[in-house]
Amino acid sequence: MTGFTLECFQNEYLPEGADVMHAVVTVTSGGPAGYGADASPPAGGTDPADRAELLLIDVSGSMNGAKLQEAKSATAAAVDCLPDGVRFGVVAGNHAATVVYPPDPPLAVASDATRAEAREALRHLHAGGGTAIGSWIHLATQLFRHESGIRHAILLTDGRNEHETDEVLDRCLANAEGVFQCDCRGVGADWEVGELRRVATALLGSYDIVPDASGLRADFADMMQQALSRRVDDVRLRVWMPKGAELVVLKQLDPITDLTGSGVASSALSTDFATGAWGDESRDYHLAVRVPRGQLGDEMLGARVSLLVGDETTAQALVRCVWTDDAARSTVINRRVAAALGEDEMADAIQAGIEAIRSGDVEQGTARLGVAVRLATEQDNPDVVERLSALVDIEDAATGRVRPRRDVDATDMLIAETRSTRTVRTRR
Amino acid sequence: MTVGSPGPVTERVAERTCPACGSDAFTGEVFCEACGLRLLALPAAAPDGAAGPERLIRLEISLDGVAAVSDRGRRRVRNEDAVDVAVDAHRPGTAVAVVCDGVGSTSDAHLAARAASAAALAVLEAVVLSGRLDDDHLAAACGEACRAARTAVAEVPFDLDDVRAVPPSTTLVAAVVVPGRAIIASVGDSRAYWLPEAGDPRVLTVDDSLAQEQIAEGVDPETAHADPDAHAITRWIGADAEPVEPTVTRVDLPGPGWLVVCTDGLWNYFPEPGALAELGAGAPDRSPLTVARTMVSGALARGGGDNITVAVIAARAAADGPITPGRATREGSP
Repeated sequence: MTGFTLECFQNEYLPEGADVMHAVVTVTSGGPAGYGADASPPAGGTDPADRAELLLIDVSGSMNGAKLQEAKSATAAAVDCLPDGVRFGVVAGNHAATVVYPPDPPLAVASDATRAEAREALRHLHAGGGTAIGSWIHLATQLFRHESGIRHAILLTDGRNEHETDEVLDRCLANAEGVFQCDCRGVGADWEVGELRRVATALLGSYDIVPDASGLRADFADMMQQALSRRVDDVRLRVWMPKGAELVVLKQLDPITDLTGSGVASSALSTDFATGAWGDESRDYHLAVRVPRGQLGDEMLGARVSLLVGDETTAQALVRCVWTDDAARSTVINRRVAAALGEDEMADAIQAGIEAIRSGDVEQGTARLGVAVRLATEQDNPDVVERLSALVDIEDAATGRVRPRRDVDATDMLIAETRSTRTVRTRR
Repeated sequence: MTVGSPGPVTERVAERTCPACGSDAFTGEVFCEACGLRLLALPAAAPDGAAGPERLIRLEISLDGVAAVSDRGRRRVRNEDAVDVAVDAHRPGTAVAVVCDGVGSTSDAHLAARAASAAALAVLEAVVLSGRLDDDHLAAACGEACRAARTAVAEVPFDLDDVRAVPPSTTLVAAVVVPGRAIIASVGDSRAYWLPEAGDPRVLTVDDSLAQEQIAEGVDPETAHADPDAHAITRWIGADAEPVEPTVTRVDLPGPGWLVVCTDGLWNYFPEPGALAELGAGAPDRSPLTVARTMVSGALARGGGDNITVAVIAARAAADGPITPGRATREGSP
């Protein structure tokens, strides 16, 4: 069985009068060191029959042509990754959702025969109609409801969610939460980052851009392999906080998934947060807690984070608060916490900058992107600087002095926006 | 308040209440499960009006049966020693003391010492609170305390790009005292002494130092200590050091006396146990704080060339009176 460890990184010292404690909690799942991705799963690994996979493919009119061909090919590649016994299906989505495969829903059992049938069914797909992502999610929820074990979907779209209201999408997402996890991809440059972020955040998945449809096949295969490597389902973080404390933020980093509002109370002072399925991996969580102010010298347990697999607590970490008038102690920021806060600030600056430029305020937008360039430089994040250089001319990266660019490509804008919230792992 | 009675335990009975919010608390809990505040009596480590550790001239801590004094000394600009002490208010005669001496040649040695001391104390007091006070448990806890200290020291901010900087490091000596015995753990050249009311005083630790290595090889102590590198330590707690297991010693404390842990700022001037005992015996009264102050004054009078830190624990014999639960108390430094 896969084991979990929890580590807490923080500076536990707070100056007098302060009441917010930040920490980075690292959850690591995996067997003994050196257990690689290629090794066979440990005894007790998930039975393929305890796993269900759905592919939700955009077949709206704008997908017509090469994009649809690539999407079909990518879907077939993902289906080919499925081990025998996994239950699966393919859904085509436009302004409504249709089960493409199997012909007799809910789901098929993977085998040579069913994988071939699915590929054949994909050949007959045509593009047409609009986009209503909530309806795809709704159908997937219904299909998955009959399944148990690890349930995961891949969602691909190329356009905005124009044929349903935000309220409908939100309702569909609320029903799907906890039923399945969903990784989202946007192909091309005409989709909304905000929409895919909403879906991915609610359904504990990743979201990313595939700028060129020819990249879909490799991306789908990767995504499916990663999903299949996750063997432990129903992993939750339980956060205990003292009476009078409140959660400021609980956010998964890399990719950033804000869990703050997703908690379910498990007792008067404890709240549970679903984290989905896990393979051998490590994830960082930024936790901030507002606690009742202590007096100088007081030491308080600001939060206790437990990791639950099913109903069993497997690991625990403590977030401590100590009030001191020793400035040398309280002003030190833990390196991991600084990285989490810095990446947050940078992501916000990029988001605000792009939104300002889109709404026509080039001056304000350029200024915000300048801030982002400076922060990315400070954080030694050349990938982000590179992406931002497609949006503004950088005169001096260290100070964030930038000029507007005239010829900004919509895809570059989307790449920066999508990936600004994907962080680089901090050095340990 | 319930006194433990024989027979099967069918439900957990609250042994005490949180001093801050009055909620029930249970043996083994370090923090109140309602308000989160630490349950153990811990002093406020308040520097006397100073803005930061660099200007911290003197720190004094006084608890029931334990006291500690840490003084910057006369020559050093900052105090790179750290001390943390705790007592279990429910078990008189049970106390924990940790003393660390930040290695002077490293950057932010004072932060390393503070981090190590606090981390080690947290582990040891949790064990004391758990009530599992047999030798094996306490010895294992000492190892765990040193690992926690190393983790804490590794978290001290340190400029990796500064080639001149040496990773923060520290010595550590810890004592867990229960009626009748003590467990001592040490890495480096900070020391523990046993100064009994009756009987011969003795040193309980072996320095991890070059001088000690030479002595072990047969060099006579006087020559070994005269070597300019005599005080170079051979083991320490730091991000650049291998994880170290402390040298753990169990000591019988057959009668009352002082268990003393200190940095070399004190013992350099009074290396012989008899000299230190004599110094302590000159204290105007028998409170641990007075004894600790007297010892520090002695080192200052001899020159105070280094930071001086000492923790003094009043030890009692195993059958020294009944164990009566009491309320946790907190005292600020004078």
